[in-house]
Amino acid sequence: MVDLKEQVEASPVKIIWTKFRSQRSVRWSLRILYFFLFLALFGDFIANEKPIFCQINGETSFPIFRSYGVKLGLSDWKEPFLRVDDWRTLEYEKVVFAPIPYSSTTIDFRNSFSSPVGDQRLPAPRFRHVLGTDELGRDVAAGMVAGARIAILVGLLSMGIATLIGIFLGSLAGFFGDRELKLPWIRIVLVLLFGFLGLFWAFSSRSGKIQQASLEGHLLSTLLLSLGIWAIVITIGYGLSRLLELVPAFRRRIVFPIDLLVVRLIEIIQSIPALLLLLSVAAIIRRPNIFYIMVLIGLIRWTSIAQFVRAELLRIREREYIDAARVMGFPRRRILIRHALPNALGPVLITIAFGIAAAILIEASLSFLGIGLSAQDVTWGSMLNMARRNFTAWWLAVLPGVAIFLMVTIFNLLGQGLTDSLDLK
Amino acid sequence: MGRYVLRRILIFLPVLVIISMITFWLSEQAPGDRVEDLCGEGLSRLEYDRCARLYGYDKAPFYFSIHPAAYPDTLYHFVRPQREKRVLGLVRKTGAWPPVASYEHSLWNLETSLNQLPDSVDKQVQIDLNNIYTSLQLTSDLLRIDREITSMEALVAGFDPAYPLKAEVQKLRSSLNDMPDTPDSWAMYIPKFVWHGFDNRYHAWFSRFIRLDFGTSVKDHQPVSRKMGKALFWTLLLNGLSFFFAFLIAIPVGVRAALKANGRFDRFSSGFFFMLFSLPRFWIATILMVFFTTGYYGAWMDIFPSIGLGDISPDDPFWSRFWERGGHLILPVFCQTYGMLAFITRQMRGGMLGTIRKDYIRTARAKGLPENNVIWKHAFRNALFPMITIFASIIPGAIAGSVIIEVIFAIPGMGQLMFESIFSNDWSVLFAGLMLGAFLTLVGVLVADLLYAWVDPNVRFANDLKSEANG
Repeated sequence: MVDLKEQVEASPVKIIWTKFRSQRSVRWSLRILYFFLFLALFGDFIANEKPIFCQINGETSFPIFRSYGVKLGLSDWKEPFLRVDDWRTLEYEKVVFAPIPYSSTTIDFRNSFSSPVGDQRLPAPRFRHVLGTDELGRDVAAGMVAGARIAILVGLLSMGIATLIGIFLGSLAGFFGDRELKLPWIRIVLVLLFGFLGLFWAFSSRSGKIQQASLEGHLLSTLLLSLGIWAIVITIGYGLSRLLELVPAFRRRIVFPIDLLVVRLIEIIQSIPALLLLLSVAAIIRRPNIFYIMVLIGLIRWTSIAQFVRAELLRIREREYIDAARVMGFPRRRILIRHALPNALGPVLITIAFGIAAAILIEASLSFLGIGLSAQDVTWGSMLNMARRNFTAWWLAVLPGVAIFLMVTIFNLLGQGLTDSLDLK
Repeated sequence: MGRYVLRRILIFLPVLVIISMITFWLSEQAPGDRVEDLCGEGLSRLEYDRCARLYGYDKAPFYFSIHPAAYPDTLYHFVRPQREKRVLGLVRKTGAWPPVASYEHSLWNLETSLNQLPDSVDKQVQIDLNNIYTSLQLTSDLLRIDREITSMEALVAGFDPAYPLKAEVQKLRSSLNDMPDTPDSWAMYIPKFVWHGFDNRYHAWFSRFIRLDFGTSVKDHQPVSRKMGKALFWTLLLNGLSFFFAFLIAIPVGVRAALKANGRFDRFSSGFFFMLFSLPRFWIATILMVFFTTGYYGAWMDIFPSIGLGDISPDDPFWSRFWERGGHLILPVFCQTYGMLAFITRQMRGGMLGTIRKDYIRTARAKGLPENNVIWKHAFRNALFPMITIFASIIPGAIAGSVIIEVIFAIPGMGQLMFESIFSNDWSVLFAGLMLGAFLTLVGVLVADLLYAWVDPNVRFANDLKSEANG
């Protein structure tokens, strides 16, 4: 009796979640994902050349915590930690190292291409490179942890950007189509005009600063500021048009063919092979940084999300409950956001899951090719690339590849599991 | 049909043009001095100008430009990136073009008059003057310019007034004094539209691209199209073989999986292909190369020839060349094939599942036709139609895959050519490749759409009806 009541009252989200979790492949994928998330979040305490806790000359300190403070500019290094060449060989009285006593960037030049099972030249057995080293003597285990962080970041950041753009454009195109988006002509004119002016002020007038930034390596923040300026200018244009719309002459509505524009834009982006585009763009950036690649992937990969949202909304907008909402006189924005979009989110989640897998794969391919990485970035792809320089280093050929494979597979499986639990084709 | 084709091509063309504009814009952003890349460094002024004219770099980049009103209309005349950067830096700081122009003019004449200095002038003074001139060339910092001009004035103070140098230094000073030092002038925030006409670089680049002339490679001064022609052969061979094997395996598996949907074979094959789909190609390629092309891990594992295409001379008999090349192609083709398998099998299974539920299949069975006949003659044929679109959707993936595979296995195809062009700043190769990749993708989609409309009248009639309703 109680069970039945619970079932009736359970929310659809809960039903889907239960169905989702009940699949064995999903449970395993989630477990592996949690493991990678753990590595990504606590990577600094899992693999670090600095000790977590140590005591020197009677003074205790927590170097890993301190390094956070130093990065934020709140603290700085004092003797004996100033200019440490090798954290392993300081004269500690007490010390607790991270489980992997190396950072991904630590160079142990006495151990180039050390095998995990062979001899290693170490100050103490505790410092064994359990998964071997690469050409420069960087610890593979620490690299695996750093790679997990990069892979998770790629998934989050690029798919975050892609989802925002994809849902925005896809829902506009699908919900309004070519004929339904009727706007006051003054609003179209002003938003387009201010959009152009904003672009000009944000990028053309600031081109000197942007160029400077790209040479000094803080391009991303400068471009973000430019985008902010653009957004503000457009908002001003929008506000101005709302003001002018008080005059009836400006209020005449004309049709804005949003669907046509979005579909053509998707077609353009999809016909440029993504990897080639990324290669070309990464090649012309003077100071490479892994974050540029993440943003670029996001800017390219939104198209499939937009297509799915558009297709879903084309279907949903014909439903009776949307008609009902229209008859009740709700504003269209509210119908779109409150009634139509939530029902389109299922397929979007599926595309996001597959999209994360694809984004991780693209990033790994690029760093495997050695494109778009700065010299100190260590990713799974760049470690795999090292295997090509030395065919005897099987650990470099196997381990990062397994990690990429796992990461890609679990997101594909999660996507598959979502498809099955949402009862969609 | 004719109307549909026309409409489809009318969509194709603007998309192609927009992509070409994006590509051209990207290529303009590439670092380095294009003229020096092509004609060598350390050119004299005259040689530099001649080279720039020869390759069209003295022209405007595009039909029009929209730039801050403070900029000169003919900014593209400053071909040298160093010079353009200096001029732009000065204009951005001062917001006034005329004094910057006269400063530039004096700086330009300064070099001539520096070279005309008689030998009677002290060698050390000449060296100092040249050093100052060099540092003036590199800077757009007003304070530093002021300092450099002051020291130059001290050096030329004792010169005979007949030397043109003295007058030029004075002109430099006066144009510097004319520059207002309001850092952010309003003229930077006024957009200005300038029409450059059809005689521009983009126009020339795109018209050459259509005629398959992709420019000159800076690496060996060969035409890019010739290099690409050679490379394209290997890429097409690699992908052609991979397509062939992929369809050879995927079609029977897909059909069988569909006939016994959710049976044991279906579940096993979909699981297996799903796993293959998740296996990164570059990983499998690395593993195969590391373990199976060398004898490090036991002599018996040295199965496949190492990377590259092997050493053969054209005098060898055909079959020995054939086996040598073939042996080197096994691993690349394998890696390229398995990546496509999952997708094609899935499509085939889906298409077949759709058709065998149709009424005409039931009719065929009810008529008592043999099962084989029903499947292959009636169902399979109709299920093949949707496969046409697959070609189109595989092309971008195949291009991306072949970049990685060619780089790993050192096959001199398009992918490797583009990859290497990145490291040798051979931008004309890189962006011609990008454009070509986009063009192939677009044509693939176009051809697939047209073929689909040809075999399935529903598509073109639906479109015609829609266009009539719209129009």
